[in-house]
Amino acid sequence: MTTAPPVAKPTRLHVPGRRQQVAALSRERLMLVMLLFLAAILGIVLKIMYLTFTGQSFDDRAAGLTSLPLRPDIVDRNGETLARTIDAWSIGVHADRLLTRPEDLAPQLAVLMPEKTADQYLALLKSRKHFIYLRRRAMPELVEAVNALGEPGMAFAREPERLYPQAELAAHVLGWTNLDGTGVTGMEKLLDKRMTDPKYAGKPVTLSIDSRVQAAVEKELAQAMLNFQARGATGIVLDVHSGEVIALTSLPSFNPNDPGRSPPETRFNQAITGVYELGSTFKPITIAAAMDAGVVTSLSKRYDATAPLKVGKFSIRDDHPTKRWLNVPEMLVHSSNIVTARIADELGKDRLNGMFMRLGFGEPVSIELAGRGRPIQPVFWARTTTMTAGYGHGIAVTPMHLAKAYAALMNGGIMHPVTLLKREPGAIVPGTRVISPQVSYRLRQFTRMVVLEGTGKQANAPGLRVGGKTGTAEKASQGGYARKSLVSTFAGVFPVDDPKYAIVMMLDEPKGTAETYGYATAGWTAAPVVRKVVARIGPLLGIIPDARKDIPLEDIKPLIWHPKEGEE
Amino acid sequence: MMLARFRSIGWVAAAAVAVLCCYLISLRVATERGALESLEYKISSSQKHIRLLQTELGTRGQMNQLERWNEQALALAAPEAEQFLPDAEALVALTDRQPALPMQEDTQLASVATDLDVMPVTTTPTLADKPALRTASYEVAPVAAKLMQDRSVVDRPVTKSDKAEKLAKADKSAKTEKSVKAEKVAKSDKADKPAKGEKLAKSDKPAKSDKAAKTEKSAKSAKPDKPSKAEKLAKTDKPAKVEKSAKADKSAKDSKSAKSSKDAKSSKDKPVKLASLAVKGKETRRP
Repeated sequence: MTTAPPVAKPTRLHVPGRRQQVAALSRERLMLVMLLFLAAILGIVLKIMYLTFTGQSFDDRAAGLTSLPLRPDIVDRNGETLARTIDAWSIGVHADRLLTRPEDLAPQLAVLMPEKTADQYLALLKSRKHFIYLRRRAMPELVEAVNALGEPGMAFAREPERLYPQAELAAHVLGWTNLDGTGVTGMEKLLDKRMTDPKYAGKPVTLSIDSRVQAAVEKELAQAMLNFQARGATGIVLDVHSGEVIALTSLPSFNPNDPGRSPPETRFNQAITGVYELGSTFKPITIAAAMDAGVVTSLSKRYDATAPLKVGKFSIRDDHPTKRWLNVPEMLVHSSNIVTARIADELGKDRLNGMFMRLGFGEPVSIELAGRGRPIQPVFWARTTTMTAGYGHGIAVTPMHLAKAYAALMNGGIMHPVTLLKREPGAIVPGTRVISPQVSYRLRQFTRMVVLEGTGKQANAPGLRVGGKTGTAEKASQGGYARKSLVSTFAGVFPVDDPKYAIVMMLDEPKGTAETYGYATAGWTAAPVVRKVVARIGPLLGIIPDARKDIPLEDIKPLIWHPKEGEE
Repeated sequence: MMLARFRSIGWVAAAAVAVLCCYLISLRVATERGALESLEYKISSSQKHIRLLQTELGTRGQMNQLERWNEQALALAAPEAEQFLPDAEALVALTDRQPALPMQEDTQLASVATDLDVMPVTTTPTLADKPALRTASYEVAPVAAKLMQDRSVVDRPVTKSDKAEKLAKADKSAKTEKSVKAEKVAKSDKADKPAKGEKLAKSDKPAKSDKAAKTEKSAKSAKPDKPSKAEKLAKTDKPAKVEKSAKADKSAKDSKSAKSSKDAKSSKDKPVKLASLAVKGKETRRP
C-alpha cells in the first residue's frame, strides 16, 4: 500500500473531444433503446387495436363451447320427444398412468361394472394402453362410484348420447344409433343425412306418430298377447286421408336405449317386414273389385252356399256354415268362403289381380323404413288360386299393405302413399283412385254390418262407429296349413260414417282361453283389442263418441236374413 | 420562462390524460361486452339445464310409466259415449232433473202457510227461512203467538213482548208486504194502548221512563201514538239508539219525534217477523 507502483500510472488521458464522443455514443444508444421501446409499444398498441376491431375473442370461444352441432331431436306429431341427444358420462382409463396396482383395481371395477370379469379388467389395466373405454353411457351414480375409487388414471368425460325417453314406445319406428351417433335402423337410419346436416341443426324432425295413440295400441296389444299367449302382435293406425301413420307397433318390442340386450327376434318388424296370409280381411277387397267391375250387379243377388264348393280335387268350405243361399252383405256378415270363391271365380284372375296390383300388393309398401317385406304372389293363377286368393289365401302381404288398402277402399276410393313423417296440415296429398266412391260407400255399409251383426261384433266400440272385417288364417307350414297356428286379424275404419282412421290389429298364433270359449279366431281375439283401442284413441284423435250417429243402413239391413224365433 | 420549460411536459400530460380517457372508455365497453357474454353463456347453460330437466321429467313420466300408474292406482278408463253431450239441449236435459228435490220442500212450506191462513191471525206469516223456524221454538213461540192473537183484544205483560222483540232483532230478512200488515197491527195496538210505550220504557230503563213519558205527553197533541212506538222500537233497534238518547233529552222537539216515528215505520218489519216467527213456532209445535 505504501509502496507506489513503479510503473507509470495509467492516469486519465485528457484527450480533447473524447468526452463529447462518449456522450454522443451514449445518446445514440439511448435513442436506439427508446426506439426499440417505442416499436414494442407500437406493436402492442397495434395488436390491441387489431383485437379490438376484429373481435376474435370470448364470443367465439363461448359459441364453440355451447353449440356443438348435436343430432336433432325426433318428436311425435304433438311435439312429444321420442329421441333426443343428451350429455352422458363415459368412463375410461389411462392404463399407462395408473397409481394403484392393477391387481387391486380390477376386482373393484368388476364389482361396479359387472359386464366384465375381474380378470378381463386386469388384462385391460395391464395393457399399458393410453386410453381404453370402460363404459359409455354410464349413469351418474356409477361415475360417482368409480370416481370414489380414487384412481387418478380414470378418465370421465361427457359425450353426446342418444336417449329415447319413451323407451320401448315406437321402437321399431325410431330404430337406434350406434355409439358414434350414426343411425343403425329405423327412422334414425333413414334420417341420418338430415340429422348430420348442419343446416338442420337444432331443428327437430316431426314424425306422424302420436305417442298417446301409440301407447294405447301397444298397451292393449301387449295385454291381448299375454291373454292369448300369442307369439307376436301388430297394430297399425293410419290416417285414411293423409296416409300418415299414427301408430305402428310390432310386439314383442325392444328398448332402443340398449338394443344390444334385446333378443334379435324382437327387432323383427311384423308390420312392415312380416308377410302373412291375412284371410277373410281380403273379402271386402274382392267384393270391391267385383262391384267396381260390375260383376255383382245387385246386392240381393244370391249365391249358393248350401254345400262346400268342389273344384277339381279342392274343396272350399265355410267356417260358419249357413247352408243356404247368401247375398253379398250376408256373405260378409257370415264370412262365407264359398260365396267369395264364387264371386272371385266370376270376377276372374285378371280383374282380381288387377285390384291387388292397384292396391300395391305387388311390391313392398312405400314407407320410410327399411326392411319392407315383399308380398308373396301366387306363381301360377289356376282357377282355384283365384278363388282362394279372393278370401285371402295363397297371397301374403304385410299388415301395412292391408291397412293402406283398407284406408283406400273406405275413404272414398283414393289411395294415398303412407308416410311416417308428419304432413303439414292442408298439404296436398298425392293419391290415385282405386275404386269408385259408390263402391267405397257400400263397403263401409257392409263392414259396419259385419261389426253390428257379424263376426266383428266384439270390435264395436260404443258410439265410435267401427266398421271392419275379421280375418283368421291358418299359417302355412310344410305341405299345407297348420290348423292350430292362426293369424287373427281385424282390419277396419272408424268412424265409418266419415272415415278418419284405418286400424289393423293382428295377433300371431293366439290361443283360445276360457273367456273366448276356446276360440282363437279374430272375432274373439283381435276384435276385442280393436274395441278397446278405438274406445281409448277415438276421443284422443278428436272423434267424439256419439251413439246416435251411424252410417245409414236402412237399405242394407233388410237384405240380411235372420232366422225367426224358434227356427234354426 | 418556467412555464415555457414545462410546456412540453404539459403536452405529454395532456396527451396522457386523453389517452387514459379513451382507454377508460374502451375498458368500459370491454367490461360491458364481457358481462353480456357471460350472460349469454349463462342463458345457454340454463337452456341446457332446462333441456336436461325436461328430458328427465319426460323419461320419468314416459307413457309406459303413466300406464303402470294408471293400472296400479288411478284406474282411469276411456270416456264412454254417454259421457259426451252432443249439444246444449242434452245439457239442459241433464240439469232438469236436479231441481225436483227443492221443489218438494217448497210445497211442504206452502202447506204450512195455508194452515196459518186458516188461523185467526191478522197477519199472514212470511215463509221465514228454516234456521229462524228452528230457533223460534218452545219458549218464545207460545207467548209470541198468544200475543199476536190477543193483541186486538187485550193487553199483555210488557216483559213478554219485550222478549219477543229481542227475538225479532235476530231476524233480518223480512218482506215489505207483510210489514204493511204488521204496521196495521201495531197501529191498532197503539190506538188501544197509548200507555204501552211508557210501560216498555219503564221496564227497560226505569230512570228514564218519566222523562220519556213527559215527551210523549207533550207530543201527543200532534201525534198521539207514534212517539211511544218509536221509543219501543228504538229499544229493539240498535241504529235507533241515537234517537233514544235524543228522546231522553227533555227538550225533545216535534221534528225529532216525527223523525223517530219515520224510523219506526221504516223498521216496522221487525215486529212482523216476530209475528211470523211466533206463528211458525206454534205451528211447529202443534203436531
